[in-house]
Amino acid sequence: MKIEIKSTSYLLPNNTSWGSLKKNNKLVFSEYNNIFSDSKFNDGIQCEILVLFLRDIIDYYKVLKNGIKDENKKIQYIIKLIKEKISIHKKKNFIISISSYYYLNHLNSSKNKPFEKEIEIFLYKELYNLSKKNTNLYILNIDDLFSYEGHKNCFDERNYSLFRCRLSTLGLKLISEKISELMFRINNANKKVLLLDCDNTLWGGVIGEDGIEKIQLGQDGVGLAYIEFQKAIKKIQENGIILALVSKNNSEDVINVLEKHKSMILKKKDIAAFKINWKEKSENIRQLSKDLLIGLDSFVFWDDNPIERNKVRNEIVDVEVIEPKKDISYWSKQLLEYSAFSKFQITKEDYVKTKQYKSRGIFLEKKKSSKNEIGYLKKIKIKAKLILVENDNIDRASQLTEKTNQFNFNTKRYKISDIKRLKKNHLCFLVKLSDVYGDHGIVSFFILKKYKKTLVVDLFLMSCRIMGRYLENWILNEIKKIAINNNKKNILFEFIPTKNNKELINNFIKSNNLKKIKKKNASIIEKQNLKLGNKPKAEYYILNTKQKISNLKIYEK
Amino acid sequence: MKNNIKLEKIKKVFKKVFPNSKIKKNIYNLKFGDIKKWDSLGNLNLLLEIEKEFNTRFDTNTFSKIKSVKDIIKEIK
Repeated sequence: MKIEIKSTSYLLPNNTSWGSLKKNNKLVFSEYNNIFSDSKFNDGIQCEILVLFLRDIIDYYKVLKNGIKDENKKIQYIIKLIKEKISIHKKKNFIISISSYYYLNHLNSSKNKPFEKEIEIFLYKELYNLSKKNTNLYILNIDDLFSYEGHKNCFDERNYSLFRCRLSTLGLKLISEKISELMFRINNANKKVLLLDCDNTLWGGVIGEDGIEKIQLGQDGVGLAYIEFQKAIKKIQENGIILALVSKNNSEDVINVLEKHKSMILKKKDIAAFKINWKEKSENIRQLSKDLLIGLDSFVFWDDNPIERNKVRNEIVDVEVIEPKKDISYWSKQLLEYSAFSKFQITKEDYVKTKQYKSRGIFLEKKKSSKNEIGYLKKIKIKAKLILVENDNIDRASQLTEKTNQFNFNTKRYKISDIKRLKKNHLCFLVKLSDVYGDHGIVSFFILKKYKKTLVVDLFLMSCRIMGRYLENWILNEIKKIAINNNKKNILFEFIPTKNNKELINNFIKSNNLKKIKKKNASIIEKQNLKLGNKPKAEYYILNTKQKISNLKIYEK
Repeated sequence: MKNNIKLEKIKKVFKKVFPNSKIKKNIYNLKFGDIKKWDSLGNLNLLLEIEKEFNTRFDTNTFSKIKSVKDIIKEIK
């Protein structure tokens, strides 16, 4: 990726401290202190990073003379410029990293709020307002980032005198690392499931041997460290991460602790799936991936036992295995700082995630045990409804494109701004679903483009947790209806196979009899001049509107 | 620290900071400008890297005066 870095300070372009960011990206540095000039390298810049030091912007002597007002005006002006920039370059990502660090005389500020603090509060308030409205804007607080290593090691007064660089090489290195982490998370879906061991992971001791009275949990010392770890787990669960227990134990013993131990922060209702048995953990994890319909690469495994960790690591390369700190007291910090669980948007759906996955477990069990599948599905009163993408659900639409990997024809990731643009000219639909297992909310998103005699499916994805209800067939039928209403003869699908989507999409193609267009005689595509781009991996499929679609009975009233 | 050990380490830093430039076998007499990339920006990166390698720190005055390998050797204890 091509990144442009602009700053109020000189940032030593060729310094080795930039190594981590240079590894995967091409960096271009603008002349320093020229942060709002138009880029000289406008070609192909995908991300712009502004590194601002308030000390370079605010004139402290003027504040002493004229008060804070003029300087706040300056901040307002900067915000205005940022706003203009991000609205012009909607496809670009912007990372604004700010330091408002100032020399503090603690005795002076023990009675009066320093004006620097006031400027800082004002600036951050404005910036976060802006980042809420613009999905392409990210904010990085440099002072917080430096607090761990210490400001005295990260800033460098000498470097400023010598060459106007506010930072030490350590400071540069930390900024470089944090930005590359952030860029990775912007471009890659977050992890979804935390797999947890029980003994010596959620509590101290072994439940099968020590019994519920003797495990260490809640008491000062190690017992308190486990409580803090559980609190951290609870916090990420509330942000939409799915929890599953994978433990070699007797199931009743573990359930007993969850239900009866007074100090437990995690309750049975917080856990979406249980694999408590004596099987190999890797086997259990593979099964969980099938049950939850979540890819193995979305799993994170946390276990105190190095032998179990190595086994999982060797058996399933896709699962991320955490190497927990030796001292349990640091686990809660380690988990909360783990960046692969971080999310940029949290939607209403995230808060009820666990409940939805739990009900999926019950649904699968009942479906398995009933003899007549269709009859069973008719009984559970499935209701599906098409709705248009509007302002109040557009964040969910974007979130679905970012995290759906399995039932997803071409894995296009769309930001809110992209969808806003697309919906001006094309049909953007969401699908809501409910049944006796509850309201599943918005579970599918598709975009249709009209081209002469063909309706092109630009995007078609469905959340995996509702699979097994033939909803994909119902949606296909709705697309067919739209095609017929618009006098289209064919519906064209673009399929870009990945290791995550090939199984479900190929099944869908097969069971609905979609016809593959050979690349050589892709006449339909060419004749109608569809600008689908030159994608070497893409395959194209056609559904004729006269074709019948099966298993729609479930949805008949 | 003996001068030849210092020189060895300094050479390592030169190779790291100027990876695309040819570095002489004997760098003792090398000074600012002798290597194409050893310009004022190159000098900053070089001295910052020297500080890391020798775990030392030059003050503002010293830093701005160092312009040759001899200067570096003189300032490293």
